Amino acid sequence: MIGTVTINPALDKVYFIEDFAVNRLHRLAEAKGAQIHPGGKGVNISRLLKNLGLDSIALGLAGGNNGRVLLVELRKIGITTGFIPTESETRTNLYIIDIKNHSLTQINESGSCVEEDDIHLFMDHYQRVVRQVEIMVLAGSLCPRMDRGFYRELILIAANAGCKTFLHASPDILEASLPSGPTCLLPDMRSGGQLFGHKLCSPDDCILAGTEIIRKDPAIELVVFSHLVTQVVAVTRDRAMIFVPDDASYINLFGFNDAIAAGIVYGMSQQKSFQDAMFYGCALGYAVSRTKEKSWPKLDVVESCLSKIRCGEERNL
Amino acid sequence: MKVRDVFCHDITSLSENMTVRMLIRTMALTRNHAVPIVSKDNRYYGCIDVYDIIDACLPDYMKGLTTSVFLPTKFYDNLRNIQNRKISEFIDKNYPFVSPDDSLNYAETIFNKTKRRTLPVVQQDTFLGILTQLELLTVILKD
Repeated sequence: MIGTVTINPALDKVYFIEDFAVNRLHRLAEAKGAQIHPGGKGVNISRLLKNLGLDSIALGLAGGNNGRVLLVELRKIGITTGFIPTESETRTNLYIIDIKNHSLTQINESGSCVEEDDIHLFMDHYQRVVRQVEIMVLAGSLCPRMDRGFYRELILIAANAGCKTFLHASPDILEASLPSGPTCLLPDMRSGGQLFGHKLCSPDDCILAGTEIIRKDPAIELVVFSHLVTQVVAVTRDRAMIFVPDDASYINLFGFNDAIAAGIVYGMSQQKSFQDAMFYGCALGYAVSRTKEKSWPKLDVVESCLSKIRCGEERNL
Repeated sequence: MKVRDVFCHDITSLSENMTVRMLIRTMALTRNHAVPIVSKDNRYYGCIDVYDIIDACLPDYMKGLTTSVFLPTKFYDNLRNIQNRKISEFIDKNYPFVSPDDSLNYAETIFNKTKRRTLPVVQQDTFLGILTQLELLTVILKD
């Protein structure tokens, strides 16, 4: 079984509007012009895994009306939930997709502060669930004012229970969470910036940063950099690999990093080598980046994309 | 149809060392009158219904009464007094539960016989989710 943790989930509201402009009233002609999806990195990974045929338990904090909708939607698609109910409202992320001009306007709320009781209940729940999980995915942002190193404790608890961990978060959270020995690390570099003082502008930068991270935290087995999109860099203890698609074009990058993460987790759960798991990650990323809307490809689609990915370069470290 | 086709795959639960205050908070926020209790090694232990807490707070002289028009202030005092006590004292280990392979007919019988509104779904000591009577009625009507 796989577990995912989404501390700061969201209800994603997506509007499809033709010729979107500010200071104008837009009326949606059809009901399907507005969609609501459960959101947040861990939740997205649970959804992607479900379509690959893997069940997962989605854990986290959720509250208010948005929280209820989020949980109902997750259960509708067959995902087991174990969210701690909070008094504060789960955030909303708003996406406006202009279908005429092909633009995306995005407004992400930061989320509400949570209480000490919420954290206490979550930790109690997590410690019990982690015992029945083989891989725990810790992904996404934390609630405002939460300790940036919150994932550190979750990684240590999982390690004690013999559970592997996959950490996918922004550089500030990653830096505060190490050293703690997650099995895999995937930095979310969408907001740019640096990771441990490294600017990650090229595969060489990524290999250097990945090597240094593993040197500092030797329990880490794999560091993945997917923000360069057309070159996905994987660094293990003894080698670096650069994966490239045969066709570098893409339609959208909605959930691209989450797809890479989900594909790798899928590969790991099937006892594949890190290199083969990377192929699954890149193939799933490839599949989601070739559709107009946020998509959740099935395993046969992903496996048909495996041949479109090649390991362009491999270096011994 | 079986329980596995309709139950709510929500494993929100508490461990036995939580307090009554946390229990009531969880009940209020999840809108469930009963919360399953799972041990530290993740084995299903029992359940606590809100009536178990109400019953624990009622003064002894009221327990034999079939109806009462008011709750004495002693009730509120008792509730405040037990709020920091561990819920392990209040667990109903004989609380009824169903398994995913049970029929809906069997589940409905348990609901009616025990007058409970929420049943934990348990398989080999593992807590898998909950089945509410309202959910069951909704499914029967849809069918």
